[in-house]
Amino acid sequence: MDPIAQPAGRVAPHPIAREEGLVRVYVWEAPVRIAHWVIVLSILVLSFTGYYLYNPFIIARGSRVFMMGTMRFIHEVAAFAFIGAGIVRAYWFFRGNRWAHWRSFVPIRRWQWQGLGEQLQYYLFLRRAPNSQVGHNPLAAITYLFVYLLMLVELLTGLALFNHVLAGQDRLLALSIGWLPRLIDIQYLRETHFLIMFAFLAFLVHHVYSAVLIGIEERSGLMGGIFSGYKFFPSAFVAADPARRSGEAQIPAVPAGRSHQAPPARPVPPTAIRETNLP
Amino acid sequence: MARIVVDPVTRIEGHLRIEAQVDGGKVSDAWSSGTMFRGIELILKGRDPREAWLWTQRICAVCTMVHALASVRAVEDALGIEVPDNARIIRNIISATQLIHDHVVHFYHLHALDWVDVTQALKADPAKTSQLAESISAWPKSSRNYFKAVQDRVKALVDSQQLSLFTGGYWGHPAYHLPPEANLMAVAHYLEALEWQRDFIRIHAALGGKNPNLQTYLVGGMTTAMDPNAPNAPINPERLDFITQVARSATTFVEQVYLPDVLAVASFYPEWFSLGEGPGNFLSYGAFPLGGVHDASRYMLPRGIILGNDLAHVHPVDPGQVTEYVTHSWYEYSSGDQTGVHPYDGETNPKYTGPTPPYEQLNVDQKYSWLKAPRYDDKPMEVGPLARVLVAYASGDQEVKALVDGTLAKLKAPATALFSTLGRVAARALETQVAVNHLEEWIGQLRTNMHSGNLATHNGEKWDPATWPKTARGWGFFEAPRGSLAHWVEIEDQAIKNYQCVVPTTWNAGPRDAKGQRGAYETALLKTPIADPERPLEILRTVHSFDPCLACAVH
Amino acid sequence: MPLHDHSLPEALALRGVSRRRFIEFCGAMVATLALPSHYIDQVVQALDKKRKPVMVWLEFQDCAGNTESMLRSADPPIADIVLDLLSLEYHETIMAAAGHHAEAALERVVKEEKGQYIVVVEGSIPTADGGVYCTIGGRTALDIAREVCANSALNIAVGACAWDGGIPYAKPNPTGARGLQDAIPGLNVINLGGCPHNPANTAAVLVHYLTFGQAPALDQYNRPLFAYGHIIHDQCERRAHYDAGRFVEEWDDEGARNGWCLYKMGCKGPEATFNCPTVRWNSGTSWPVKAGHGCIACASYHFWDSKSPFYKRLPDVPGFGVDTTAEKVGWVAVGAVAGLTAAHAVGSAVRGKVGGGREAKDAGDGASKS
Ligand code: HEM
Ligand code: HEM
Ligand code: NFV
Ligand code: SF4
Ligand code: SF4
Ligand code: F3S
Ligand SMILES: [Mg+2]
Repeated sequence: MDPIAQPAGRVAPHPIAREEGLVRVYVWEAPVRIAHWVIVLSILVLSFTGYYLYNPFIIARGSRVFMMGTMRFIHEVAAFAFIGAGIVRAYWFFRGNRWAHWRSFVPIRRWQWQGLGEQLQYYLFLRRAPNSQVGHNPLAAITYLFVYLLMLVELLTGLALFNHVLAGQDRLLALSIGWLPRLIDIQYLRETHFLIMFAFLAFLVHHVYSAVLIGIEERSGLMGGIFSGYKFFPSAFVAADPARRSGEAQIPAVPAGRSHQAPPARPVPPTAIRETNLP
Repeated sequence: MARIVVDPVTRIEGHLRIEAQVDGGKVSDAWSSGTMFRGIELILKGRDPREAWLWTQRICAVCTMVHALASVRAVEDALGIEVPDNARIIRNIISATQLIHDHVVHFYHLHALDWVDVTQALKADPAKTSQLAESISAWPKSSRNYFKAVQDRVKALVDSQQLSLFTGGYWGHPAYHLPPEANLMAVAHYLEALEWQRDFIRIHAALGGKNPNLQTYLVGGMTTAMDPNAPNAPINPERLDFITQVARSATTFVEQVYLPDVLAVASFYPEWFSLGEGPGNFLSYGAFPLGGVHDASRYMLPRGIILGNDLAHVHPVDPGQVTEYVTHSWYEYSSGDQTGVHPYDGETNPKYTGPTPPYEQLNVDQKYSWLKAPRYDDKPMEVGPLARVLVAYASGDQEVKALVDGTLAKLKAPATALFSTLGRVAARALETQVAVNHLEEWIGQLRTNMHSGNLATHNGEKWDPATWPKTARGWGFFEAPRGSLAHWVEIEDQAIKNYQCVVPTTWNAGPRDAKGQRGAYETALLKTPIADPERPLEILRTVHSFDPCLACAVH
Repeated sequence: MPLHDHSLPEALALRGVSRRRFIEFCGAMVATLALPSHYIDQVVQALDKKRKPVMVWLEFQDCAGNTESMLRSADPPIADIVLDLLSLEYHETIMAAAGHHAEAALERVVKEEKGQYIVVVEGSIPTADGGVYCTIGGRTALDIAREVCANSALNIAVGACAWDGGIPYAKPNPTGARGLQDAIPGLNVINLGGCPHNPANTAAVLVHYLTFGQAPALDQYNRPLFAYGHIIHDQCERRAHYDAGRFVEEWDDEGARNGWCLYKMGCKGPEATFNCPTVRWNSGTSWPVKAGHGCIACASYHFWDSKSPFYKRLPDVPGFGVDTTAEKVGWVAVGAVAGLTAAHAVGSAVRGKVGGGREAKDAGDGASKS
């Protein structure tokens, strides 16, 4: 039966039944992983330098270090890394595998809504088992979608601030973002830019916690997955992946014939898995 | 019997309308109406009290900075903040500069044309003008050639038929009495004063960043930090030298041009020393603190009240006695429109009930002005230079007494001559002299403090709103050029809960109150002779003698 | 009508101003406009030929700050502008005529100079309640502005109030105040924001118009680029301190005495455009930052609401009290999430979910414990 459809809070086997052999699934392709880590690192740098720009708390009396200038420079460099990663990830929303595809983030299908509810119940201790998926569970997915939207807003407000810093001297930048401060005053853009930083920080706290938590619950190697790309599931579970059942059949679980695509998932002996990926 | 309407009253700040009833060539009744409202008291609600001064300063830029100072004082009073001595001195320097500037500009550019017929200057003999000028003052710009050049400029203007600013004046009116030479001299000084005011106000720029709308006040002091050794300190020896120099030239102009001109003009219009008497009650909050702002015994111009023209008694001022009526004003009070309300409980609820524009005449039996009607102990008061000078005179202030007695002697007039249109003009000139007497002295004090290491310009103890009580209220007073100004503020949860301004021109130009008592303008206009109802020059004389500021009055 | 008899140089010559002084004056104008110096000839020629155009100055919901500022014009002096360069035939604050005579002067200009005169507007125009919040001679400001501005050659809005509504427009805008271009859409308006405008810029715009018959290059708000095209922060004399990280930390501290950057005191220079640091005020004497106070962005759009509170770098967050900064809101949100997360972790541990899952020989065991 569909492992996802377990009745809530009932005595039930763990969603990922471990009796059968696990398979290693190449879930997170390189662009997703690289984008993720570039985004993580750049957000950390951007938050630090951005906060400094907001409140220059280190005072460089008489020193020859141009603190503000340097911080702004680092912020701008990191911003472009951030934007670059964002573009890669945006492209991969259309070109990536079924778990990276934009459709898996937008709750447009029944199983997604259902899973969303279940996962919420799980977090509220109303349900024992998390809603596990090969890709993101629907609650995680919609959260990420929201985070990506925040990144977009941060990027746009950041570009508007950059255009402002350059006093509109860069024609291309002025043309592409100049409309924004005309709609919304630059001070409100700045404030939005600033507040979203806290949204990222708050997200980070919860995100790391839930990644660890769910990784332990599922024993799917979730944490390792964002480094290596692989997660581990029973083959029946993979076969029952609703992301495929409900219409992404055309997106192959293991796309073939492209240099940037990883080798097909293959079953590995349970012992090996236990040694390398599970406590 | 005729109704005269003067709207717009020009050569004032703002939008003033005077309606007067004329019987037998004299004004038998008058109504003063302010016709513009912005609602700044309402706009202030909910904002940070520390920045209220930036907003209130925009009530008026003719008397720029006065609402800034009243505002910071109100907030300092509410929060119990004492400003450092240097801040007090800097504020006095800025205030004195404002007063001198405003009075000179008022006399030449807002008032002089009521007494001076520009076109008559063409008939003057430049040589005789030079003699006249030299007979009353040592001012160097008095040669025949100088006056000839001015006359040529006026001639060119008249010949061009493009009179510019002078288009449509009441030229040739029978109430003009100056000889041609005096007219020419006054026109020359009108032009000189234009340049003088521009140069003199650089003191404000140096200490305030710019004028109008200075930008250096702070709740707790001033931003102009001082350092004798820092080239970029807002106040350092070099900048003090600069303002000293500018102040010195101001002194010369006031002593050699403004005062002699006022006396010269006044001497040709003796009848105006008995016209234009106001309500006879005078109020001054006191000006230029020489110690702490609450130490009323140490104001350079004292605090006090005179009632019924009685110079033998000076009554103390109790700010709790101030109320405002809206019986004839376009507002509503929750307590009913017949009541007088103290500013701490003040309300500004606009409700226009006048005629639908365009209109010809106001319905003066009902509400007819955007000004409220302030009263002290239910009495109408006159405020302004005359009130300040009279309170100082009656209090026995030596400096003012000497100036007033000397001037009255020169004009061969009794002290009662001061209760008049020209009395206001003269008082304005005399207090300008007082301010000039002390301007350089205060700059000197600042310099002494700076060199002795007394550098504080701001008290930051209560800058952080976290240090404030949950609720607080206070008032800030100031003697603005046009008279007694006060702001009342109520602070709750670090934001402005209520803000009320009771302004000099509100006192003077306000409408009738619940008892039907006239405001100062309305009283002063009674009995004004009107030679030509089509050209009511005489009304302008008395109204201008108060130096109206309607943006202040209504705010 | 034989209205224009004297050109500017003739008029100046009449009062003993030499041709050299006149050309100097044209040179100063060219510099203010940031034009290449060979334009001096063109300015000289244009002003040489020009007869005095007529100007009227209208005041509505104003504080007369822009009038006062104009009176401080140094180059050219105000007397030269209103007597020699132009004929200023209506300006309530300084004109000789009053009442009906003043109204007649304005009517004459509108009728007889139709399409040729310049209008300067100072102050906002109230539009609520039929415009009763500002009447002159019994007519509303809106009524007067419609007639006078629609028949002019050029309208110049001086100061924040006339441009975007200024202080009367600030929340809650009790009188429905609007700037000129919003009160009467479709007018040909040059906007000279600032509270007040800087007369050096206004004089330059006038001279440009008289010389070339058109406005200088304008930005999206119809403001001349030469004055409003640069950020204060980029021209500020304290900028090196900003870059280096030397800030005034509290009023009257060492930084304040040494002229360090006012960023932390809420300076809006980084948000604002205007040419204060270069043109300065009152014959080039000073400007707000030089006097130790931050810029409040008084030449920026709707600055009273958008750039306040003036002592904080960022606006208040809507829905929170004035004592709550954006930073506080942010940290509280982060703290709340961290707290909830920690609580959840404890909850998970207590329920044995996590530990149980780990220890269980199989998943079913862990689940059955709960
Ligand atoms: C997660 C990403 C980002 C974070 C957390 C972040 C954070 C911040 C913060 C806190 C500030 C200071 C705001 C203030 O108080 O003025 C700031 C300023 C700024 N940010 Fe970002 N930012 C991010 C991304 C970007 C991006 C993508 C750009 C694009 C170019 C950008 C450009 C800027 C610029 C130009 C400024 C203004 C610097 C200045 O005023 O000197 N930021 N950022
Ligand atoms: C500001 C920092 C971070 C942001 C904005 C962020 C954002 C994201 C996003 C958007 C995804 C979905 C990737 C996709 O499918 O496109 C994701 C996945 C993931 N992130 Fe992060 N991340 C952050 C920090 C971290 C950190 C510090 C860790 C680990 C310690 C981490 C671990 C993971 C893991 C394990 C996944 C995969 C979850 C799964 O397989 O369902 N992230 N993150
Ligand atoms: N009335 C008035 Fe003012 C003054 N002086 C101020 O408070 O003019 Ni504008
Ligand atoms: S823009 Fe400023 S200076 Fe000009 S009228 Fe408005 S408040 Fe006064
Ligand atoms: S004082 Fe203001 S404008 Fe000047 S550098 Fe500092 S932040 Fe920028
Ligand atoms: S407040 Fe205004 S005057 Fe200049 S420095 Fe800022 S734009
Ligand atoms: Mg009031």
